[in-house]
Amino acid sequence: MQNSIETARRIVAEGMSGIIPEILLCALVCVLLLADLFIRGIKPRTTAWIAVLGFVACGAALIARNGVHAEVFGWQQADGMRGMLLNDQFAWFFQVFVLATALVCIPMAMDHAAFRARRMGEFYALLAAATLGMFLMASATNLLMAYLGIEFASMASYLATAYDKRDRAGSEGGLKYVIYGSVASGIMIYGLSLIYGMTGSLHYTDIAQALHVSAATEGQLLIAAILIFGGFAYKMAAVPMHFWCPDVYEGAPTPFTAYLSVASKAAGFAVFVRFLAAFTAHGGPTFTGFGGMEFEASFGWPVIVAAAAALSMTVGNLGALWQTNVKRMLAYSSIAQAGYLLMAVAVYAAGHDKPNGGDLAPLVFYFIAYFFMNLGAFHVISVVGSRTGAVTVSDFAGLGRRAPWMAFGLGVCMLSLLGMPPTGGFVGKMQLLQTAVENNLVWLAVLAGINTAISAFYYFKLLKSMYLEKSAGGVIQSGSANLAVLALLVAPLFVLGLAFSPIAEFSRGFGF
Amino acid sequence: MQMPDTILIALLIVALPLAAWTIGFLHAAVRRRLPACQDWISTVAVGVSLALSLYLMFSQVLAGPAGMQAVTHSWRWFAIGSGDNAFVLNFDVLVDNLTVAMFCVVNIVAFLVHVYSRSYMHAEDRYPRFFLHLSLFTFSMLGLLVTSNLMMLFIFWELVGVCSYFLIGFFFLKKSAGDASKKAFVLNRIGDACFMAGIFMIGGLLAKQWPGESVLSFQRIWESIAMLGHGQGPWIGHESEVAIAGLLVFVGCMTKSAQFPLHVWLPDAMEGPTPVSALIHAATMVAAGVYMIVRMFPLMAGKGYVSGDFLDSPALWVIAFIGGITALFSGTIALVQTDLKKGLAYSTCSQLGYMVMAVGVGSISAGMFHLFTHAFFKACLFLGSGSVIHAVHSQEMKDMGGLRAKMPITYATFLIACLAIAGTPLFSGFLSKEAVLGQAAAFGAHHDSLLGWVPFTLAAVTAFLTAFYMFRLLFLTFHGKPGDRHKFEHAHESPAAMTMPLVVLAVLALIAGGIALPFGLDLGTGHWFQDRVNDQVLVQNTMGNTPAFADMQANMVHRHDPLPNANEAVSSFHHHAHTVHMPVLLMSLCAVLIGISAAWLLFVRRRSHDIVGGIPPLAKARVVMSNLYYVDWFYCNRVVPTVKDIADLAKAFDKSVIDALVNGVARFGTHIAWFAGRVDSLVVDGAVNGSGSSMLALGQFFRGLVNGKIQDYVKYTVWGLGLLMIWAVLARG
Repeated sequence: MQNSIETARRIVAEGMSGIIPEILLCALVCVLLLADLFIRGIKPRTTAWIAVLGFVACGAALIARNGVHAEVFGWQQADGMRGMLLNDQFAWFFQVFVLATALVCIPMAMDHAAFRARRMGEFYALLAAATLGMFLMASATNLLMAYLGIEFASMASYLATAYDKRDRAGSEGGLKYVIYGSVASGIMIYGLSLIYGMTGSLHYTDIAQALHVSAATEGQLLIAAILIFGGFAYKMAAVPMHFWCPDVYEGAPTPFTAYLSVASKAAGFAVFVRFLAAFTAHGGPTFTGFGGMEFEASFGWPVIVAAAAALSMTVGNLGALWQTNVKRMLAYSSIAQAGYLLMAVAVYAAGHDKPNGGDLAPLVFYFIAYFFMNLGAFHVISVVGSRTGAVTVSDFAGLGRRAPWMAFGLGVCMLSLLGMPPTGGFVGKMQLLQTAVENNLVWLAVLAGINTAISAFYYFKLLKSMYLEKSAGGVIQSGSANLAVLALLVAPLFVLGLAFSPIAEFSRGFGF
Repeated sequence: MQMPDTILIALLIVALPLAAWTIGFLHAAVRRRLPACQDWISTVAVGVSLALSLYLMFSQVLAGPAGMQAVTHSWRWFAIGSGDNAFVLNFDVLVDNLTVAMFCVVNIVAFLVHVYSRSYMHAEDRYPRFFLHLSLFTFSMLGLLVTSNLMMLFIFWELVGVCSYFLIGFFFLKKSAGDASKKAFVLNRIGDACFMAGIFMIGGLLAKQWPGESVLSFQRIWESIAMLGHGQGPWIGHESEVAIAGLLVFVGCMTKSAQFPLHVWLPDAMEGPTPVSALIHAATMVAAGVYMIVRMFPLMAGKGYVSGDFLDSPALWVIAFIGGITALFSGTIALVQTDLKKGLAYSTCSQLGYMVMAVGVGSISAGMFHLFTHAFFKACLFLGSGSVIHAVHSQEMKDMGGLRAKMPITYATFLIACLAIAGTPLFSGFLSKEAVLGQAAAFGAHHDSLLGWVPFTLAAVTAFLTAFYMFRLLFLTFHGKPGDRHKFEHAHESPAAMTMPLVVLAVLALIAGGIALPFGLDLGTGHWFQDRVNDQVLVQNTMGNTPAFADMQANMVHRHDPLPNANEAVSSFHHHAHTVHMPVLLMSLCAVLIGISAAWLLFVRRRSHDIVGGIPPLAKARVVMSNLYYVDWFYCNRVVPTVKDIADLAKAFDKSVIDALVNGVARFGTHIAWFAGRVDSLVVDGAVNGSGSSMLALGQFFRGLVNGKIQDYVKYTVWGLGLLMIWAVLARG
């Protein structure tokens, strides 16, 4: 007894040194909440700077963690460590990604009209809390830890979505988010319990080993897998768990929509891909599925993922065609983008055991491009929306004249989302398509091509509105800080589109 | 990798005009207008580039007997894919004698044109924009020269093309200028498509030999050809494709360098401002095609390249004939032009034909040498014509005449340039033309067949025509009585900013030959140009110790004297080259004399008599020539309608078959989209459809807030997951 307590003490003590960035985020949440509560008349600007400082400190700790490969809160077993979290390069990339997104969202929030003259400490605390949850999602190697990470991030997101209490759409979106999220959570935990029942473990490594020798039928595993996938798909905003997305994106304050569409999606992909990697690690019976694909992987994950990818891009793009609200349109666009990204995951799952397969580089590269183009788009929408109240596509008419740089930035982001050269979106999508074709997923690549053509319609709709339609509105003063943020978000798109080799090389370093 | 200083300087030379362009562009982007001093920015940038080029020229190229050792550098631009499947594009840079020499030519002409334009274009609208375009053009042209990767060369090739489009259409309010720019652009697409096909062919084949490498670099292409000569490498099994690839690339040259029958855009390009005609459409851009085939000469020469026995290469035959035909064909049209600039334009076509033919008959030295000297005297002629046009406000020669006394500087420089282009001894053109003619004659003697003598014959006749039509232009413009009294009264010499460049160019038209004097006559100092720009220096020095090039030293055709161990084909060629030299020299002297005298007789002495009109066959020929041999007519009335018919047919097919298909798909798509839209937004039916009592209770509770949508979301989600499960289980079998 004494011994096991001692062991537990040691595990916790050792683990603490492995989660310094997470501890810093925790501290940041507390500091922000307390500052908001106890310092009378604290200015939004002050809390924003506290948040920036906290995030930068966390970032420094995170950079110090680069190159580390360690199980955290682990205990020794015969064949290696079992931990709750695994700090590796894969987790590191997504943690940096999420943190960077949160940092970009701070200037956006400072500028946001609905947030002015409000106590903002709570909002930044929620942002930090969601970031913390996503950190855990990226590194969780235990189903319970993954679940808790998802829940933690979700809780903070629900609150932040409904942050502006006076805003009806925001409150409505927040409530829908809560309800939908709890259903998704229930579905996922149902799947978890099935897996636990079949394998007797929650740790990925143990589950994968147990499955390899399991007596459970493939059918049973398939059902459990699909239920768990539901939970992940909810975070990725992929079909069939995408329904929350348009309402929440539309209702949430635009800076937070930007955060959700980039960070939350990335964290969803991180937690899913790690889970998938563990599950497909040991091979399995050959599985012949849709379109004559042949897989050597347990469960037929590639088929599930490929189907979800196909449906996500199709539903997302077709849904976006009808939208007049820009944020809603981008919500559907982000569902479609999840479809393109899932294509890379399907390739990863299909090629996992093949010599040339299992390459996560295209996914990572596309996420880097996605970071800039999606945040850039939401940044412009936030800035213009704050100044003119623009919400629909036709509200953006004449923006090319009223705010030329903003319009240019949004235009570049649209072209990049569509996948036009010379932007990063083109190179990213090209890599996705190329790997799909190389791994015998030609039908999916063709579908992605058709979808790209469809998406041109609504991306160009916004461009047309900005440059070809007239409006009586006067010049919009965007502010130099906002222009600087825009430049930082848009310029890299050209770098990614023209001098992409170093970044493509860089993106190779984050596999398992 | 340490970057040599030479590379750094070369890149600086390229970057300076780009910097001038960038400054103007950013200024325009921020302030909504170009800087007023854009002319200064551009001129200074190109001036510094010129100084650096001259520095390289004197410190490196002229320092040693064989010029500089080639230096290369390479940056990875991107790699698509990984491992052996990757397509790699490098920005390869090569600086050697030819690069530096071309730098000097381009920068000298560009600088003088900048200076000239400050005066010539001053009164025009969009004056700063003109300099912006000039800077972009200069950058693109220099970039084209500095890169040693065929794909990168193609990118710059397109850039100079688009600058040419901008500048031909600079007076875009004039319909003819807009039309001319479009014509140039569209016609160049034909060549570019073939050029690209050639690039893909080469890249595809070479990638098999060197997977995952930058296979489109010149070095790789040269090496592959050298390997072919030794019976190895990627071309083995594809021998016939060497010629096809070479010819596809050559079609690119044909459009850019205005070779028959794709020359029709160049005369129309004279709609552009005259300084542009001098810079782009006489001295530099149109010569890019010649430069390109010089760089790709091993490809054109094929497998005999390393052994020196390549004069039978089919690609070279085609090139020689196209060049010769262009030279004669355009030369005859130039005889009857009444527009001063058009006359010069056809003369340019004709001279470009010379250069292309020189490459075709196997001498890149002769081709490049003529390119050099031509750049100076033709730029001088164009700027001189600009000076005249500036004075009389007309391009028609009937409005000119007798301007000799009014514009003495312009006249003197024009005369010098005319003497040079006609090939008068002691002028630069004489030496370069001699080189071309001598090589063509040697080609004929080497083959010793009727067909083999055709290029020389075409070139010799052209030499006579050149002297004749150039002096016709000179006499009609500057001699005789004024054509238009009123315009003559108002004519005056141009300001110094315009005449100074003329003087400099006229001096260069003399000096370029002076420096190169030993090219034609060996005075014991060696052959200035030939020693530095030839296959050995261009290819072998760059390739260093590549084994495939090891035995090339002995078999260089372009050495003045063959080495004793050269093989038979090379020795025989050299023998012929020396034998034909003197007869050719005498013949071309006669051609010049007869040409100038005939022009004098017809256009000074008997100007008032229409002698040609009195001789029916000549009069008829004149009509045909005046109609440009009906080539444009043929394109407009035969080719274009046919293409349009085909397009109509395709359109009908599109409408009835493809559109029906697409519409069907689209209709299907809209149905799905309608359904998706409905799921999303139209589900206002508050009635609870019974998907579990907890959902129902929740739904009732939040109904007022969420319009009952959320239950449906959840319902659809559960359905979706359920369907996925059923399908996945069923698909498992």
